[in-house]
Amino acid sequence: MVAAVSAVQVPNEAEHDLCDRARDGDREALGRLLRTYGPVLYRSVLLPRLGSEAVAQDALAETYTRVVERFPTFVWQGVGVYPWLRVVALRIAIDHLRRRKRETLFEPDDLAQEIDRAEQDPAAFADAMLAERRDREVAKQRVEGALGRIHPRYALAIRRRVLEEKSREEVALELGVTVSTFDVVMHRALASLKKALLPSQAPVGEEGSS
Amino acid sequence: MKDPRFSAPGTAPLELSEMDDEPPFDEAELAHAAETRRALEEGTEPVAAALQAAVGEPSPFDHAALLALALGEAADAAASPEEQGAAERLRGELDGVPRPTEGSPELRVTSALRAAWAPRDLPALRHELLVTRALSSAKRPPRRMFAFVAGALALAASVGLAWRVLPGPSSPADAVAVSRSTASLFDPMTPFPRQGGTSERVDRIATARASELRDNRFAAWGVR
Repeated sequence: MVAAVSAVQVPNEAEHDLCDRARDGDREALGRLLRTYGPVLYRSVLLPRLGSEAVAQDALAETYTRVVERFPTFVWQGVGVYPWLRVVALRIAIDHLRRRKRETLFEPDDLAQEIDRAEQDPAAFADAMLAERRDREVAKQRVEGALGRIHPRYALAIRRRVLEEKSREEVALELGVTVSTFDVVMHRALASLKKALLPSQAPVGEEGSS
Repeated sequence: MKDPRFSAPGTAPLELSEMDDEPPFDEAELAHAAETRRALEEGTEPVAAALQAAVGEPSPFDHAALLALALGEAADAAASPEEQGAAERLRGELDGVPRPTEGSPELRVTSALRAAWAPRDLPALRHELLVTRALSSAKRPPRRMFAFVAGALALAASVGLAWRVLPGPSSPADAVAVSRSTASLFDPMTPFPRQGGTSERVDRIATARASELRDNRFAAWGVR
């Protein structure tokens, strides 16, 4: 099994130096920044908002391409590079959401609002670890909000089987149904959730204070 | 442990783990049992319903089922063949059975939920590939652009150098020749001929400016 990458905190002065070098065309410095923050962008910004690993990886590749193109215009504002990278990733994610128009927990307008907030207060996202925690929390609230809009039984079935990844037998036992009946319940639960996620529906959940 | 003999058409198989010590059933008894079970599952078995109503509170899920019926989301209603098929496909997808396509709409919903709830990390090798590809595919400035930038930088550096090395009393404005008209190089009373003489005039201008350039350099170096 391939090891997963994890973010390493870069001291601010060192990061400033890396950004200066990257802006001057130092590919090694830019690569180090991407290797540090890319995994955070993937798991806390792109994957939760796009809902598909394949699409999120495509979006990450596009994010990198745009970062390489635009980094000469990056201006150090004393809050690190992560807020800037996050906004680039959000813009790419918006493009993907507009193209796909299918079952996702986020709408393009949601991300546009996130970008507005990030650009108004970049310091709020200066600490990549805190920003990641906040982004993950927002995504979880989205899930809770979506589950809150369907029948409680369906929500429980989805929670146990999908989010907690329990076996059919366990969930069927908890729901008090046979396993084959549970299969049908699960199917109906997801169809109900899919209907609830249609773009015409009301906004799901709260965004939090990000 | 399941036995297909105890499965009535369109119903779930009976669990036999608690029935091993029971005597064998005949076909008629099995058919009645299946009907009773279905009635119990659907909440239409009158005796059972009366008992439940008399004994106590309905369970949350019974209440949920009633709500579902009212809201048109009857989870316990009989599943159509299409729903049975879709449920079976979904079960395979959730259990990780590979599929040639990217999955059903229901599976996409589950992917979106899992991605938002507990997103998995990107494999290190995959990430390294993305970084390397982005860095290597980036367009570098063409050579002509490099030459232009290098020239501009050299010019800026020479101006900066001249600015720095010029001593205070003989400031650039005082000691260095500034750009001006070429009128002083020619006799204003002698008009230029209509034809010819251009090279000679250009040579005179070039010679004068070259002399001034030398003077400027000497001034910059402090040798004059």
